[in-house]
Amino acid sequence: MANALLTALSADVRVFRRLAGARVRGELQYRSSFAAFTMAQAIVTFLDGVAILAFFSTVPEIGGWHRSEVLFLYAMASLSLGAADFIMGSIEYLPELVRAGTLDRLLVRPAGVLAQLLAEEFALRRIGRIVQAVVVLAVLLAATDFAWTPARIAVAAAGALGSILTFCAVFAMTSSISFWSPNTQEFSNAFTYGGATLAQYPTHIFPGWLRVFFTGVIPAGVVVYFPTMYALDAANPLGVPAWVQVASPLLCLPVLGIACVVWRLGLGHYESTGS
Amino acid sequence: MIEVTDLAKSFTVRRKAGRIRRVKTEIQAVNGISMSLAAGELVGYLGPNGAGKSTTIKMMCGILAPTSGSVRVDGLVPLVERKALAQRIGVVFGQRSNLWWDLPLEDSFDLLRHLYRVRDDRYSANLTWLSDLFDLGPLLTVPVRQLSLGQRMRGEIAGALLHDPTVVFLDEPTIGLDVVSKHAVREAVLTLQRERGTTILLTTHDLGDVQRLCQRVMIIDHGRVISDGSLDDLVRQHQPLRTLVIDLEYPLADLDVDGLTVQKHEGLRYWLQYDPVSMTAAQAIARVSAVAPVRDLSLEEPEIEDIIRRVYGAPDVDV
Repeated sequence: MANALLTALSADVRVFRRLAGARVRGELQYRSSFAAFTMAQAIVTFLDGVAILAFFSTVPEIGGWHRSEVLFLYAMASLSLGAADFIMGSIEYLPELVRAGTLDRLLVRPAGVLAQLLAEEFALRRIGRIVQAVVVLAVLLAATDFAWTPARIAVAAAGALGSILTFCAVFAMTSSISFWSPNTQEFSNAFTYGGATLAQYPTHIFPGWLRVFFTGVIPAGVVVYFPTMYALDAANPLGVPAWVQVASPLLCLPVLGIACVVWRLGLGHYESTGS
Repeated sequence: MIEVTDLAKSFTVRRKAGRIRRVKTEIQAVNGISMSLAAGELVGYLGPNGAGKSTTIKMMCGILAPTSGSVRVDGLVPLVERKALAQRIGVVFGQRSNLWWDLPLEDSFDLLRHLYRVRDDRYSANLTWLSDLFDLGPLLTVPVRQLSLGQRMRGEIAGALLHDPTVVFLDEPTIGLDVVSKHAVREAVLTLQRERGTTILLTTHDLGDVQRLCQRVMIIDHGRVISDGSLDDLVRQHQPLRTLVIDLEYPLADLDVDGLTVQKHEGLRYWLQYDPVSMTAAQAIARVSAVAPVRDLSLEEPEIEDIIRRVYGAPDVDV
């Protein structure tokens, strides 16, 4: 079972690399538009950071978190969304493929539909957000004395990985809705990009209902928040136990499971269109 | 090679009925189709628009789930064993592209080769064979978006054959093509069937395709098979009489030939009908020549289009 899953996954990765490679070669023929998009994406994310800096020029802390801590959280959230967007971003074309019935061409090939879909519209230029997040993290780590221990580094890394996977799952889940109702990409964006905006701030500053939503329904927020809290030993006004902080990245697993189920149900519901 | 039993597919369509109310309508796209194709058969699958042709093909490829009934293609259940089946079938949808728009044709082929894991020796043999068959040599380095429709379609079909499929579905492969391209596609399809023994299911609205290619013709309408048999049988069944057109040297008061009936005449031209079962064309011509001063004559080909229109049942459906 696990073996079959691994075989299928490695086949998908092989297909993805092959198709995405061809796609990137095409993309790089338009170097100026590539550069413009990457810059634009980096600048938008950077402005979010500037907003945080502006905020801290008037108040010393948000809910007990200092400037460097919030900036670190912001960089982690950007990195997670950036990486997920880099991998899953082309799923935004799914509604279009469903509406036009062009998903057919992926279905008649001996390869995974998701892997083909992600690869066919793969865009290297989506790397802008990642680059920006990595720069902020690097500057922050160089300029600030966080008390790093091996355990904290491990939890931070697990948090980054877990939140990347969570965002990937959220992308897949919300886009799958278009199998039932094609004009829903904005709805989907509200969860992915909207979720990322919330994840840039410490979850405890939000009102209870929003917190519940972003913990129970779309755990994108907490999967960055808890590990960051542990890694930086930041203020913990909600009194979250340490084991929850450490284990929180595992939350990505059930979310991924649900996303797989939703995707499969959606694909089964696909009805193509007339010729 | 293809076994279909009582296949049905219905779609639910929601229509507006009042401000908020929506009425659900069930549309039977395919309504109990059965068919059996032997290996190596080339079957024309005809029917008016909306008859359910594409829907049937999509169920055979594993794109759509049947509402009821069963499909087996090369022994596989399409929806369940989609990837395994994809490895063995070639699909061309005339109105969709299966190639990469921005890449040269040969790069598209290379990607398909990797998607289908075609062995190197098979790939190079097939590439040579198909380039030759479809005359693709000079087109291989041209980006797909710069190809004409006819060139692209030849590329599409070649691309669908790189992995040696045993069954090929061609859904309107000649739609919109000029006569030269149509001819090229038809000849290639015939070669494919004859040299490789590939089983081919062809849907088309072009009756030239049917006449040139299909030994067997299957006609569906409203999701049901309404005719299935050889083209000759179809013609015999629906147009039993042949027409002989003659031009006379000078007008006759009355033309009466034993065994032939005058369908109509305009000036010196007469249309005479005879039953091909009771006499040969030569006999019919001899009889006419015996009683009338014939200057010129011709035999009218049976009009496949008329026949099919008659089978469809409506006088003015779009064939």
